[in-house]
Amino acid sequence: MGTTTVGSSDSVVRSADVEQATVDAKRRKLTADRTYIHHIQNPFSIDGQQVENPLSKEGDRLQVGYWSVHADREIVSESLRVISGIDLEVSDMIISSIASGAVLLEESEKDNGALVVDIGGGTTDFVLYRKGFIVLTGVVPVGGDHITNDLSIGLRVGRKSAEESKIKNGRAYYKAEDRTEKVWLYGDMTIGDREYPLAAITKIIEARVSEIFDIIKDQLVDADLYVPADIASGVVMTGGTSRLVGIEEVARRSLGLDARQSEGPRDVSPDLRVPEYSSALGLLHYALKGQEDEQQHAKPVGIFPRLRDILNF
Amino acid sequence: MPEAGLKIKIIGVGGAGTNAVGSIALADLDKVQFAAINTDAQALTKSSIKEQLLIGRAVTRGLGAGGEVDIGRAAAESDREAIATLVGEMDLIILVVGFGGGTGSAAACVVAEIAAKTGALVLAFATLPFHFEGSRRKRIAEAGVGELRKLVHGLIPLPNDVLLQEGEEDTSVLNAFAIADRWIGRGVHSLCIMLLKAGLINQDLGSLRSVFQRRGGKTIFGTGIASGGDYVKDALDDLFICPLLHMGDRPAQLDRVLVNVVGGADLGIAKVNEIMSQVSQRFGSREDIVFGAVIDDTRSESLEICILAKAEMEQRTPTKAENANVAESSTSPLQVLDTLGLETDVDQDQLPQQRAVHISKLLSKKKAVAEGQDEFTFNEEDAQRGYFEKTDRNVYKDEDLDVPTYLRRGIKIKLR
Repeated sequence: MGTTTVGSSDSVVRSADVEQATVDAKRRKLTADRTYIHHIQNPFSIDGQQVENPLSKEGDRLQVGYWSVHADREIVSESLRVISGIDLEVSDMIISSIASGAVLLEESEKDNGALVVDIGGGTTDFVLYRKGFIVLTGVVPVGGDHITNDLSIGLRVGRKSAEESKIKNGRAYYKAEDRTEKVWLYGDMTIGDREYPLAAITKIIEARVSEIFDIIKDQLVDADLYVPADIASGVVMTGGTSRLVGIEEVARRSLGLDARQSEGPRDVSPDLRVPEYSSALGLLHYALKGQEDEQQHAKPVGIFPRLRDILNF
Repeated sequence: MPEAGLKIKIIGVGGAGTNAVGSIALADLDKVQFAAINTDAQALTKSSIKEQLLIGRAVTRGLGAGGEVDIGRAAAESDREAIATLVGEMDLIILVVGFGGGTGSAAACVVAEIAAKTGALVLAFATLPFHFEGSRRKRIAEAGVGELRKLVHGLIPLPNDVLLQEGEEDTSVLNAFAIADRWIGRGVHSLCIMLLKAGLINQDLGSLRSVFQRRGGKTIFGTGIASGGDYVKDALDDLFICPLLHMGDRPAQLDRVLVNVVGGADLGIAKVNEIMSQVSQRFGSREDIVFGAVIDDTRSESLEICILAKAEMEQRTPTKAENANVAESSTSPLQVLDTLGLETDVDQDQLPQQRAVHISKLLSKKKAVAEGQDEFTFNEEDAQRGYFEKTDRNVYKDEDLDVPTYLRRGIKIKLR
């Protein structure tokens, strides 16, 4: 949060004040091994009142908040190096949760407040919208691979079988009836096929999935942002792991919010409206929107129209 | 021929170890000696073990180490001579230790060092604390086991969280500790009966030594037991899903495998052949599997299978990511313990977001794969992480998130 006292004698906010507040907000120094990768601006406020555009308004104290994301400097440069190593130029960097959030939510949902949770293979990314602004992003270092690993160890099978079991028989929450229901490991009459109670699978998965949501809730609480009334549009889930049957129920129980799986971005061909692509589509949307803004309604040239056609944007 | 002169001693070190040894019943194997070493005088008086040694009287006045590793270590160091006398001149010494506290975690290394010097074959059963016992005990246990592993010829880790999976649905904490005692009992019993009784297929100390040739390395241990009905098939099934064989840390290659089978008079060669072929299929190793089969007249229509395998340490250059010092030198455990920093303290201070998350995992995994599939890090920390074994630890509020959630929360998963 950055604060500045409005400089001029007539208490009207000028661009210098905005500059000052912004600088103040971003001043927090990082340790040498970290680097900022994103500053997400939160609303300005004058004398405690939120304002859309502070210029030329009256007041004494101008404040602006930024949600700043920083990362390990070495890891980031390694990633950038990998890309430039294959002769591609990186023109921008964005957090994938923001990318997904931007493309999956309607404006009304952003205004009502929503929590987008992208559960991938290795990690779960989330972004919290409140009153139209991004106020929190986070990562839980747990994903679908962890569910598979848990099953592999718990059912005492190899990873491939565990993955198949998860997809074929998995449910995100445990039901008492699962104890008497049996399922086959391979289910195709191979020798060495094993039968076990469905409860084994669902108990293992439920423990892991509920933990992911519990950690997200912890992070919201720690940031003083767990205010259900401000997250009226609830939880929107995406990412490959969100395909897990019953995952909305577990999200609902852990987070105490309405939860649903996202149908995918609006203006995209049906083949691409698939949970695994939200992140990538979000990145494309962000990049294209950036280009659009740059060109100020000028006629788009180059790769842009082709991409448009391919993706049905 | 049974080794009439074979000298075996089972030594419980520390409170948990002493309890476990006290509960081992080796009815017909009276040649085996038992002993208890502890810093807690009261615990020793309560123990049924006849040969006892109170160590560190000058340090603790018989009041125990109070969970302090330094005190346990000092206690053992102060009574080296007495320990050496107790250890004596044995062919096989089996140490039984519960890690996490003060005495077991530290004194066991001193005892092991002394025992190995006598030329005896030294094996150790080491229980690791439950998740709910907290992170301090976990760290102490990990450091202690990592150290002990290098000093003995075979170390069998028994994580209580994993053993709990074999208990009943409503297992209480006390029951849970008893489960560990049972597992230790099974392992010890299987070893002793194999060595001391003439078998259908006989194995002796030489066979055991051929499996556990060098100190260090990784030992795999599992058992299966069944009676009545199709007990051969049931015992095999039981063995194949033994939780100790599925902790996600199975080495790519097992150097030596020993399988011992104990059955009643009805155990014929035909059944033994069947068992051998099934086990060979499952646990194929570079060398042939060493098989032992023993008849126990007190049994009938029952079978117990025990597997012990060793994967030796590969020679390789330590990487930057290495925590443990794995040189097979004769550095005293004290020196090495001192140089082993416990860097997990740093993790606790960092915010979750500051840990380079999935990107770091990719990097570490790539590094590990590039260095060759034969490697494994020998950190106790990496057991139970399975797929994530070679990546950085995934610490959030003192928990390693890569370890299965159901294990950390003590949720029992029944597979039958």
